[in-house]
Amino acid sequence: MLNNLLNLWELIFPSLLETLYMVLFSTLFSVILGFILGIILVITDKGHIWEKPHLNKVLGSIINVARSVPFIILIIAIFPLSRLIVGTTIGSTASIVPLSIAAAPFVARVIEASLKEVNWGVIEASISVGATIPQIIFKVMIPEALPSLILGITLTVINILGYSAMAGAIGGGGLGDLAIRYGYQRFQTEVLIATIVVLVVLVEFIQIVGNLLAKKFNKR
Amino acid sequence: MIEIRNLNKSYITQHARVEALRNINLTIQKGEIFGIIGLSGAGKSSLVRCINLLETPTSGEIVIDGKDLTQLKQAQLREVRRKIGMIFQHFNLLMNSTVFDNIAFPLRIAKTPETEVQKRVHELLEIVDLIEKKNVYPSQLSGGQKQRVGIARALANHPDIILSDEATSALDPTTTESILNLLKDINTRFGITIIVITHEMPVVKKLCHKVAILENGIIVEQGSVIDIFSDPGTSTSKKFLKDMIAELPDHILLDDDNHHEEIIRAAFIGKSAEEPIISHMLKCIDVDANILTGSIESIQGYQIGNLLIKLSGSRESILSAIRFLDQSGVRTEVLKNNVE
Ligand SMILES: Nc1ncnc2c1ncn2[C@@H]1O[C@H](COP(=O)(O)OP(=O)(O)O)[C@@H](O)[C@H]1O
Ligand SMILES: [Mg+2]
Repeated sequence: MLNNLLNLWELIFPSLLETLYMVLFSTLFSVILGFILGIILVITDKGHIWEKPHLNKVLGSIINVARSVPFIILIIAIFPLSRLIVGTTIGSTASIVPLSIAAAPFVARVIEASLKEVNWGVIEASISVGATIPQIIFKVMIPEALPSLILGITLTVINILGYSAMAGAIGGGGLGDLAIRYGYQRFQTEVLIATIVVLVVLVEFIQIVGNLLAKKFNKR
Repeated sequence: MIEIRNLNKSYITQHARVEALRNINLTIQKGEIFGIIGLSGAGKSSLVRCINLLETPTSGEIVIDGKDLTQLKQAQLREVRRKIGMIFQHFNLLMNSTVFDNIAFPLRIAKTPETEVQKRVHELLEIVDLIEKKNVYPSQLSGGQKQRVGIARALANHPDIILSDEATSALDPTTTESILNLLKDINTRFGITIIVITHEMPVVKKLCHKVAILENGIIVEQGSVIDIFSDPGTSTSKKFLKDMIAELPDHILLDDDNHHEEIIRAAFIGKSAEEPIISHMLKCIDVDANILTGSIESIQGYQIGNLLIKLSGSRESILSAIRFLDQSGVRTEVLKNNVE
């Protein structure tokens, strides 16, 4: 029994590392991209600090289209780009490209929603003391929205974790790959169950950490 | 000096065009506390927000010390705004920053060296009496304390002007009193011009030197607070003063005898409020005077009396009684008589 578990763990551990690697970097890139898009979405909106209705509309539409493309299709469509950036379309490094791009529009909306919650009065108060647009973004909007941004990023990490399992299904490596190869194709149900348990624990852990951080930074 | 010239502001919404301000002309002297009073929706916030261009005027000029703000480029406007502090009804503090960081915000925005920031914030904490709260977050403060932080923030960059939009409207009477005292103190100590927006006459009475009354986007009356309190000229100003000036009760009827009766309103200002003018009048002139109602108010150390007096006697003696009052510096207004 113990031996069995140990074997399972030896099987799962490398895949877990791959998954963590994919999730970490995809989160990083998608959050950077999504932050930029989300901020632009907010400040170009009507009545905000950098009103640009056309840009706002175009960007909004692109994000909506990107969000409605199913992830599997996106990965395949992005194969050429993955090859261009990382030189291959297989393996966890290659999956980071579609994962980041797929998650970015989602992150953009999450960031947008958080930044929109910032009390407009506080933004006006900072305009009235002569703050510039970058100062308002980085010294007012982001700090004020921090707890909500942290929760949004937590949600993103969990989503990317789910996506990464899907990427595994078409040769992306990681836990999803493992579950399919052993659990599905070789009927080793215990491997399937073990991966699910690991994923559940991972999701719980990420959510708990996210909640704790959000609470720590919330001074309201 | 702030000069507002031919200011118009309209808002265009999906359904309609709202003319919030119509042809506003105002001159506010340096060091003055200038009140702008009006009912909700009168356009007070629009007016005060046009002064630092938080709202862009539809037309007109905002001239501060000779510079027309509507002609400035964004960067120049930001410079000017640093010298115009603003305080808000709902305080608008950074909820995720400490009291210290909130007050330091305008200084850091202006790239003030950190040692200077520390020094100035401590000065400000002392002025608004919040030293022991400096590391606390706004959610742990009372409304009055939050407004003190707002005031300290507005003072940070040594402004020439402070704009206050209903700064005490969310506060209870005692706290309001202390905030008004603080503003008054700031005005006398630092000579800062303060523009006070309010819908409450007591605020104007306690704080302001001059006042403009705004109604539907139009200034219907303006002048020194003493003048308007002693002699409100428009129905709007009377409405605002109705708790303070004596109103003619509806049930008062005049006798239909053959002698004359008149009810007059008499406003005693300054010295005339302290002298026994009525009793002098009664000694000199053969009339009866019956004081129906009245009050004596002290406005910024200035006495203003408001009496409703029923005069009875011959027609000539009533006329000479009114003349006597006029000559003694009392403003009179005939409200009712049985002559016509
Ligand atoms: N951003 C806006 N868009 C459309 N209408 C507005 C806007 N701000 C104010 N108004 C309208 O302008 C008028 C004056 O408003 P405001 O200046 O806020 O008055 P006050 O501060 O005296 O209550 C009101 O009729 C109000 O509905
Ligand atoms: Mg208002």
